[in-house]
Amino acid sequence: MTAQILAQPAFTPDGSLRIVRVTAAVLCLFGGAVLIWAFFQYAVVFPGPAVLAILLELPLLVGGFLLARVLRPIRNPPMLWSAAATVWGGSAAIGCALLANQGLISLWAKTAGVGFASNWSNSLSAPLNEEVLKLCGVVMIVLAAPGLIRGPLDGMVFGALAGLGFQVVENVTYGLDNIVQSGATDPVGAVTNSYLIRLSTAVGSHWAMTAVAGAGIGYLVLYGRTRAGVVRAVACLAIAMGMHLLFDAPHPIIGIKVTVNLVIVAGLYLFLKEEYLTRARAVVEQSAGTGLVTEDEAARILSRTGRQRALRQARVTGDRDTVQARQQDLLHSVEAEAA
Amino acid sequence: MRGSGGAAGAALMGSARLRGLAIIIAVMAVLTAGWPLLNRVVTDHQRLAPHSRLALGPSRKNSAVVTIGPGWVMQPGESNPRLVYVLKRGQVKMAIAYATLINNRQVDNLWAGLREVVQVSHPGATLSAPKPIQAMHGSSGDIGLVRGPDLVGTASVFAGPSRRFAIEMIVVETPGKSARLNLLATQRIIRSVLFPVAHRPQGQR
Repeated sequence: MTAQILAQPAFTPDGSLRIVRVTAAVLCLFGGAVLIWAFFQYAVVFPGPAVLAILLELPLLVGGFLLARVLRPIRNPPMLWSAAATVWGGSAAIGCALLANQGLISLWAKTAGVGFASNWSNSLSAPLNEEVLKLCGVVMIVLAAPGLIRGPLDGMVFGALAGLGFQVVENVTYGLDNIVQSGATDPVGAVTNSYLIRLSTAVGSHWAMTAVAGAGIGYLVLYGRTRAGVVRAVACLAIAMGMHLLFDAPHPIIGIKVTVNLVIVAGLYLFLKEEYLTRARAVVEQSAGTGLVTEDEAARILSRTGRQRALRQARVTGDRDTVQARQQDLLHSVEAEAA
Repeated sequence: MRGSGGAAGAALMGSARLRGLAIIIAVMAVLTAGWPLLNRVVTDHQRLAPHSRLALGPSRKNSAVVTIGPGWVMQPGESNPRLVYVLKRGQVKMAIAYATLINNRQVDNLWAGLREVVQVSHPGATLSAPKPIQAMHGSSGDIGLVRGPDLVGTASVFAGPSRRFAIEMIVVETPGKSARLNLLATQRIIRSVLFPVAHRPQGQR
């Protein structure tokens, strides 16, 4: 594998793509190794509760994954790259964040005092480290899969997926930490308690923050390194960090924090979705007007169920493959314009 | 001409991608290695005055106070007044931790739990059977010996008056000449544990 990579000139698109993908995989392995190193002893001493902590998170992982992909209008993002973003969040991002947070939280305690640090070190460290590290996953997707993230909505979906991976693995580590913080008197109860608390705040947690930051990367892809692109990207990252700071801050109560984060992410999503669909409808109407798309196709192409219905009908007439290929072509051009 | 222009464009795209990758790696390295390195440069020793009192816990109702003898330093980088204090005196390291109990029936499991906590924090170490210990202010707890491949020490636990929390103290040191002296110093801290709620001054509710 290494010999193949080295044999390929790095500056060719294929060579550089390969390097980006292999590097991303190596960073995920590094993050995973850091996590195993940090929590191995927990798994040795509490094997049952450790398995429970993982199993309890599976519904959130699967449900969140399916939901985040459906958030993208018209059609889901590719499964492989959706999984890659989620894996990045749950390995490279969280493994590196573990080291970065330990360093910065400790620095706060040493320089500002343990009293200040006990209240504020988490909320002043995690937003900076974790938001940037999760967002690196979205940038990695931009670099490793050209053309996949074309605008803010794509960035938002991949950000949500990277955030989800981070959130799920962080929940597992919180469950394990809670065993020791409760004196290991009831490991199963500690894991379950931690799970229920994290579940109750899940809708306003990492997925929401990174979705907002990811939209910024989408803007950067759309506008390039122009003032419009950079300002939007920085603003989205700043908002995501603000959401994270609020989430980790000692005040206000958690219900308010979760609601604020949910309102921000939902508001941005609805705004971007409406813009995206308006542009997509305009492209389809324009194509229908010039006769490139039939009226029937125009009515169905933007809807998942509409396209499936067309495919079912085509199966009867025996030209399913042709219809499917036509749908893919149309979607490709509509998405390119709508982004 | 067209072919060479395409190749140049592709090479440009490839180099831009690698530049992007280099930026990502640099950012990740700065956060992942930069903070820990900077943290190592800043000293993690805060000298504690003899007879300093350290309060541990999330609130006055759910807290304990310990009194520190002479010669101890706190490691602020590992300490958090809500959860844990890490203290050092020579080769001795002492962790005083607050444990939130899930319900008040868990007090009976404190020693078994402490045995597992010792295994997590000091792989390979074992904890002996408990012996009763009484603090100077009257609180009762348990204490036992910790033995590991290259360490010895003690672990002790005191349940809070509400039975919804406990204070756990794990002391370890590499065996050496000063072991007996340090053991006395840690005994002094262990026996100083005080639960403010259980010891209100008269007239205070």
